[in-house]
Amino acid sequence: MLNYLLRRILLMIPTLLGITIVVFTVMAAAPGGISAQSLVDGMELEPQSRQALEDYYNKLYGLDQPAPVQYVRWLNNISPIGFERLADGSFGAFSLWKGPDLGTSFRYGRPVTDMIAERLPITLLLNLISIPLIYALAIGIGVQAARQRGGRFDVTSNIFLLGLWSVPSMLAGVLFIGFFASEQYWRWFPTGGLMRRETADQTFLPLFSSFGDVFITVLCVALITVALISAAVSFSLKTRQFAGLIVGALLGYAMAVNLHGEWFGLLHLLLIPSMAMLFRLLAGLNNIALRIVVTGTFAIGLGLAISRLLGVEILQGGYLLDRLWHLVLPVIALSYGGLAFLAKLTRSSLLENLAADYARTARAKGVDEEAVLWRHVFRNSLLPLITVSATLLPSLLAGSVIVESIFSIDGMGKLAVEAVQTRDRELVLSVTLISGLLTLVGYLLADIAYAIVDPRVSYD
Amino acid sequence: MKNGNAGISKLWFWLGLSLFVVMFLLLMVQIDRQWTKMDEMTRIMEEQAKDIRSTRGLLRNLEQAMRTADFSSNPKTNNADKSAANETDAFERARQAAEQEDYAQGDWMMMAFGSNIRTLTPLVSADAYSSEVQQYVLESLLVRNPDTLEWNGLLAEDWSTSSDGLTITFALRRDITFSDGEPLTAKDVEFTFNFIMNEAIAAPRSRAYLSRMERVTALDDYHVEFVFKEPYFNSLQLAGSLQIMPEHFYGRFLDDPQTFNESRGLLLGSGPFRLANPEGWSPDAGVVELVRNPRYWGPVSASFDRIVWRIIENDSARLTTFRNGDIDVYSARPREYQTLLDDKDITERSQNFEYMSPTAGYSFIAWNQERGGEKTIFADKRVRMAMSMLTDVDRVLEEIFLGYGQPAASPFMPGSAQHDKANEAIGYNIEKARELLLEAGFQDSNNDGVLETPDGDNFEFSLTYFQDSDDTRRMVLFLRDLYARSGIIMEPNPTEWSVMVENIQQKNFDAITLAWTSGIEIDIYQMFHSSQTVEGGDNFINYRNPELDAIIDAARGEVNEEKRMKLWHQAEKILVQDQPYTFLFRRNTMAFIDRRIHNLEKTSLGLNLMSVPVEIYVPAELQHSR
Amino acid sequence: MTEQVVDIPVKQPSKSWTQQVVSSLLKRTSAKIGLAWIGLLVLIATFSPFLASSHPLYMVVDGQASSPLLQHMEPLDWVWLSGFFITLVISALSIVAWKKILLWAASIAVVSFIAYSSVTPPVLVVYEHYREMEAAGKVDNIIRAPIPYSAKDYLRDYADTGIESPLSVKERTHWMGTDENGADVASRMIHASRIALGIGFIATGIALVIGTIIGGLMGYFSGIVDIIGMRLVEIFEAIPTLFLLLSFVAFFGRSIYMMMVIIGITAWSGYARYVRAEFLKLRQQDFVQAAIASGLPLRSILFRHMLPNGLAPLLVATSFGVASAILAEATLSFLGLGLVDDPSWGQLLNQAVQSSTFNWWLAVFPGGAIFMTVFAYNLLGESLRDAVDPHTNRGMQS
Repeated sequence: MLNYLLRRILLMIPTLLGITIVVFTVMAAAPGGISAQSLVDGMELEPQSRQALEDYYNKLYGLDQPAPVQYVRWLNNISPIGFERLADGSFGAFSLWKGPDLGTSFRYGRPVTDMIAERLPITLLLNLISIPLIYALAIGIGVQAARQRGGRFDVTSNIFLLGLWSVPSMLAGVLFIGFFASEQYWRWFPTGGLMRRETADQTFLPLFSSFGDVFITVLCVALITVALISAAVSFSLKTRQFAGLIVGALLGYAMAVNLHGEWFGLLHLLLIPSMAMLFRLLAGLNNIALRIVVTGTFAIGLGLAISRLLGVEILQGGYLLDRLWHLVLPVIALSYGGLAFLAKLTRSSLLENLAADYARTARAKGVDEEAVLWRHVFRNSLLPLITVSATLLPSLLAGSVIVESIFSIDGMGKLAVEAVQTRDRELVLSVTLISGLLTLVGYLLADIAYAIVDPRVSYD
Repeated sequence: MKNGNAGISKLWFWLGLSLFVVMFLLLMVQIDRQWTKMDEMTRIMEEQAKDIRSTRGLLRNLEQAMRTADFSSNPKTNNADKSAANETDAFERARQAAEQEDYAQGDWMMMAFGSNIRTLTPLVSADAYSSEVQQYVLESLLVRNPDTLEWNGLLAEDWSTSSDGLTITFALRRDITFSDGEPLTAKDVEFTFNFIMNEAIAAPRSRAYLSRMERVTALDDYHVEFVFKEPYFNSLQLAGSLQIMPEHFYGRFLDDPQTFNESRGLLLGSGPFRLANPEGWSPDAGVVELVRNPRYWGPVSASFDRIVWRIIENDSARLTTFRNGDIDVYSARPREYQTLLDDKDITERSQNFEYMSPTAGYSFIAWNQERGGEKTIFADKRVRMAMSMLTDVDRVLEEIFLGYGQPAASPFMPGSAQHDKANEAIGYNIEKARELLLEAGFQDSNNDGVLETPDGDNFEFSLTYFQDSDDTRRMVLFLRDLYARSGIIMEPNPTEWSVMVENIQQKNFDAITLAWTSGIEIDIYQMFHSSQTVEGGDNFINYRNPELDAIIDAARGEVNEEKRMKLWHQAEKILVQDQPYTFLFRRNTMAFIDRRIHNLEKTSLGLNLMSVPVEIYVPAELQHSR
Repeated sequence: MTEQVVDIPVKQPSKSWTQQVVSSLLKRTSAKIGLAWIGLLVLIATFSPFLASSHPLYMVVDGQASSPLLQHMEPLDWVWLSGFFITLVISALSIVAWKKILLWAASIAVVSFIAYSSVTPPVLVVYEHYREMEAAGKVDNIIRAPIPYSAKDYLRDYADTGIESPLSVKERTHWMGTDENGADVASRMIHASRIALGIGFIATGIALVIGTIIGGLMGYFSGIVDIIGMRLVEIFEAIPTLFLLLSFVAFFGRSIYMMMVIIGITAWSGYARYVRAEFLKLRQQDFVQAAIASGLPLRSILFRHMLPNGLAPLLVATSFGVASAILAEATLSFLGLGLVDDPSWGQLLNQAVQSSTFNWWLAVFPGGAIFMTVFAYNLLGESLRDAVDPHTNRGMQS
């Protein structure tokens, strides 16, 4: 195993080199290349001498040298041992303890490491919230679909998931902002960024006007949640569907009232029945776990609304809630694609295992279907999910690019786009290096996880 | 099944554990925030303590002075009349604003930037947004009067020019302090110049701009002289608009230029506003906040408590923020502006302004006269004039910019003294253009609808433009269809900025549309003098006219304003006749500003929204409680 | 002895694998939906000059009849039209598959050559010409295309055009509104379908060819070829695709052929992996060993013997690959790096959020088109996967 690890890690190095060479060649071969001229900003030119500016940048970044030399210089900078780089760009003495230096961004004038250190946590935040969400939902849906293979839920969810997967993320982002975060339709969510200016000064948790208010809120939420969940679990299908219908219609009505524009347009009329049908569907779900989650969320919202009606005043939303509020839309836009893919993967993996020999043996022994699913098959079907999860690391950057651009969030994806558009050599190479590294590490982790989880696989 | 339960309880256990971990992390974040807040409060308290100490010191001095009845040592009274006279110049408008009935201090002014600033440190920052912030914090020796466009002393109370035009001597006011309490003296002026000229500081643009100055010397604490290498008509502007930086704050970076070059927020000055922490701004905050300078030396204190700029890159997000009242200023594009004028939500809470700023650039189409060593079709003056006549600027303004602008006749501002009203813009005239082209040898010999050059090729050229500008793209597409009607094939060529810059350097283009910035009085040397046709110069169209060269040289060295303006008028006439550029238009700025901000008005310098000293205010009853 | 004549049921000749796949595919509803949409797109793309054009189909001016539409047809339009009919004819013929492909390629080449050398539409186009003539009353008789606007007709004869919602302007009918430059959205969408389909097919084709060759060589030879090949595959997998696309377009400028090639180059690694896996398995099979033993040339072994047996996962991947190629092009246009004047669905989508108001018709219609196309290909891919998989219930039946 150790040999295998070592071999893989060593093999990563030529791959990384290859990646950077490809990107560097693209940059250097382009018309305009990498030169000091690309550092001139702005659209309205000021009639001033440009030569001084160019000379200055040429010396600082070594831009007037031929491309292969520039590449070797960059390699020297990022390797932990090599020639030290002095403040004005020339090279100093050889040192074994230099440490990797990712360089300085042209456009921002700041060290690349600083910028990445600033932006990476934001992207990570977005993605780390999405990943558990995706997994939980995907497993839930996948299990349900596999249990009643060929049944109504299976077929419809299949089509639905495929449709979800086909929606391009930019369309989804555009529609989200256009409908849920704009003036013309519903303004439930903010249009971008990660927090409002004011919340920097606010408290962390929401501020109520008195302790009594807190008590009332908690009481309301708890009571209603318990009531609704027990109702969801115990009521029969027909009652639940009927209740869902009523609730959906009421909500649709509320949404229509909230809508800007003339009263009783086509959109309003469509809203009420569609919300009603949606809630009827949700209430009629067979899977208890899913039902509990849905009713639980709804109940919490209802509880908060009722406590509001009872006169509870919230003075300040607080830092935490504001952050969460800003994160809702981007996280949804980022995760729905992954959800679709994972759900289908779960389903197919479960189906494959349900047809396997050991499952057949269990059934022959007299174990009932539920137990076969949960005790024997479930854990084995999780294998592909685990291996896929490690390859989710590289999609951190790719998926985030569009979402971050649309929602104006300053993360790694946006940084990558800006770097390419402004031909910022250092930044482009560094981002490529890091994303390449993440991808390769992801694959390595996936293979290792596979070896750990599946005793049949070994790398000796 | 029983065993299943064991699995489920394990699940609950893990869920509970992870919940616990998450709560712990959140707790850590919370404590972190509280700590930062307390840190900031401690710093503010320290500054206040320092203030109280210096006030006590002043009081003691005053007490002493009163006791000894010693007034004669105070030089202020001697110059009282003079300084009063000069104070009315720069602060006159602010004073008048403060005397209004509903004048009140307080409230914040919230604005927005469309893109993130990379640094606020002066000299190193190169974009318009950071200079917008810096103009509230740093001050210069002179400012232009918004009404008369003459120079008023701000930091300087008097100045004189030597007869040969090479030396300008300024007398500074005595009572100026920086926002941290240190006094501003002539040493700081000298330091600013030397700091900029220091090669290790990353300010090549400013250095090039000031390259005409030979030296700046502090004669004593309150007198400083600027010496130029040769007489230049704009020397007073060069010297007067230098923003003075404090030596005691920036001086230490002479030994450590690297830190200065890489810094993000080192901004300290003598202006009416200051950064709460002069060393502590960083771009990831997403906002820029200036607070009122409590130690401002000027006779009128600024009205706003704070000025805040939020960084909102998404256009529609900015509009929504304006709608909510979270920002106070919104500048709109033409079509947007018209749509918003019909929007009641917006017009109820805001006032709208359309104005032309004198530094508004003029757009033009530059015709390359020599490419690859050979003369192009645009080398012929008649062809250029015909193209200008075929470019219907009025219609472009009307349809694409919805009338928010005016046609430009020449590089000179219409309201300025440089512009001669007799020189008018070329109007749209198809017949005359056709005549000119026929004269120059262009006709449609094979009747395919396309004109041919005297060489027999199709009259075809590519128009390069900056790809990211939507309005420019619309204009180029419009022009393409317009030229097509006269049988000319124009190919739009959108390019990226760096590629465009390179093509300009190599003079590798047919025609290009760009804009230059303008000013009250501008120097056209770089763009039209034949010496600037070398590589790296801004005369990238290879335009050579010896008559124009002579006039430009004479005008630049002419210190007498009247004679100089006559020379500029002559130069303008030549430009209009030769049409090296087809001058397009100057655009208006359209802005919506929150109604509660009073005393906004248009001046010769544009809108007084951002003028310093601050003239606008919010009356007490309209102020938001912050 | 009497002989009983018994009817021996004649065994139906068993269908070839391709025929089995196709027939089981066509039984599924999702495949039918997907194929229907793709077929619709192909029709729209082929006949786009006739569906949406400012040039009238037939015009009589001063007694002289003319067809400006036909006069202004580009060579590419003719190639699409002829290609369409040639494909129909050839697929109906009953000859071997590879001969069909060869015939198809040859005829397309001939037609292209003829078209590009003989068809010369006028260089300058003034779209408002016809409307002005009609307004001046010079026209006796005129027949127009169903959507009387070309994709690049910016309606210069009407002043003050810009983004307008569908059916909001009285003088003209725009079924899907106009975009920010004044051009009709429906017309642009119709003409953009060509780009979408073209990029989908060509880019995936390029990726397929490269991937098959490299993957095949890797799978067949193993050893050092495999190690180097895997490094290549890893490199191209690890580079974030969007990033590489952005770099290429940002640095090399925009042209549709470049985009096709680049999308193809960034996508071949997936196909290479599949082909390699299949070839590794197949290499051990008897028939391959026999082929090697008989001394057949390499390309024959790879492409005539091994490849047809390893097609299954490749087919599925291709279908999903086309979907992602279309998505990649839309993303590039959305980020503003696509073509400038030529219409594209992504570019229209971009305009939906550009201005400060949300223009829903620029999001719903082009976005819907992108969604339906990607969805159709995904449906097709799913159905192919089920049709090819021997374990599925409704899989192949002999």
